[in-house]
Amino acid sequence: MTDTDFKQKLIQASTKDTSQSINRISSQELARLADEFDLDLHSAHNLALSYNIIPDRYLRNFKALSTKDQQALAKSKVLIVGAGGLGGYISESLARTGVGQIIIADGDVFEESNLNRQVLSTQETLGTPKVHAAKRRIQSINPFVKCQIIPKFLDESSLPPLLSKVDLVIDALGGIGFRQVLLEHTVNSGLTLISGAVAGWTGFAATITPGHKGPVDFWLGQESQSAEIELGCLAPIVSLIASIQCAEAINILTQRKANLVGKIFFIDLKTMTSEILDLNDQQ
Amino acid sequence: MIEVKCFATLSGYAPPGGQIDLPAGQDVAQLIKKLGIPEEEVKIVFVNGKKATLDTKLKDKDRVGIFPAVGGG
Repeated sequence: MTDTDFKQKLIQASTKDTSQSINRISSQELARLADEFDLDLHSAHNLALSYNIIPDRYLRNFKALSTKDQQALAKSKVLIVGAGGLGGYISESLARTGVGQIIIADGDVFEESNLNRQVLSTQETLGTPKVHAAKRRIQSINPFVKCQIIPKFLDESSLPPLLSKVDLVIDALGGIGFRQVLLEHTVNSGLTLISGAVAGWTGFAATITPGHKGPVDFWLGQESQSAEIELGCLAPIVSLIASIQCAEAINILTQRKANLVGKIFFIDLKTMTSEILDLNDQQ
Repeated sequence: MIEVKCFATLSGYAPPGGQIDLPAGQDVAQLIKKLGIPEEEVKIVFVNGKKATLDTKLKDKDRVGIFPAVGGG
C-alpha cells in the first residue's frame, strides 16, 4: 500500500466541517488507519495535516491557528530544558496545541516540596524521575507527539548535540546556575531561546535571538542569592510565566512575530502589575 | 519626585508611598545607597522601562524598577 492509498483512506474517513471549512478526522480513526498502514502515529498525524485533514483534537485551535499553522507546529521540534514547575506546564500546553516533537531534559526526581506548583508532581509521582511523568502526560494527552526524554541535567557536553536536532529551545530551568550557559550555547547555534524565571509572586519571560540582548544580569552571582531561595515559587506565577513562554513559542513556530526579543515581560501578581521592559541600555 | 519599585526580595526597601525625593543629577547608585539596598543584591535596574546602569542619571518623574537575581522555575 502506498501514500496515495493512505491519502484516499484518510479522505474517506474524514468529514467536512462546513462551519470551519475544513476536513476533520477523529484521533481514533487516524490511529486505526496508522495501524492499518503500518505508520507510526506521529507520521500518520503529519501526513493527515499535510493533506489538510485536521484531527478533531485541534478543532478549538481554529481559527486562532490556521491549517498552515497547525502543519508548521506538527513539523516543529522543541527542546524543553527542565521538567519542573515551568517545564511541566510548558510540555502540557505544547502537546495540547500540537507541537510535533518534544525533547525534555531533567535529571531530577519529584519531592514533596514540588507539589505546591509543579503540575506533573502528584502523590503518585513522588520519588520518580520528572521526565518520566512528563512523557506519560504528553502521551496521554496527545499520542501523536513524538516525545524524547533525557533523564539527566544537561551540561556543556550533552547540550550541543541536542541543539542540532531542534528548531527552538525553552529554558524551564530552576535556579540561576545553568541558565547563562544554556543561553550562550543556544544563541551560538543560531537558535532562539525562550526563558522564564520566577520568585515568590514575581516572574518574567524573555526571548533571546542571536544578536539581541538577553536577561543575563538576572542570573549573575551566587545561586544562593537568587530570590526564589528566600521567597519560594507560587503556582499562579509559575503557570502564568509558562503560558507566556508557550504563547511566544507558538508565535515563533508559526512564523508570527516574536514579541519579547531584547525585552522582558515582567509580571508581579502581588500588586497585579506587568510591564514590558527593554533590555537595551539607556542612551 | 522619583517613583521607585523594588521587587521580590528587595520589596522591603521600597520608599514609603513608592516615591522618593532625590537631589537633581544623582544617579542609580546613589538612589540604591539612599534606599539602603546592599549593591551586590541588585542585579538589574530599569529606568522608564529601559535597562539602566549604576551611573544612569535620574531626574524628576523618572520611574525606577530595582531587581535582585530571579531564577526559580
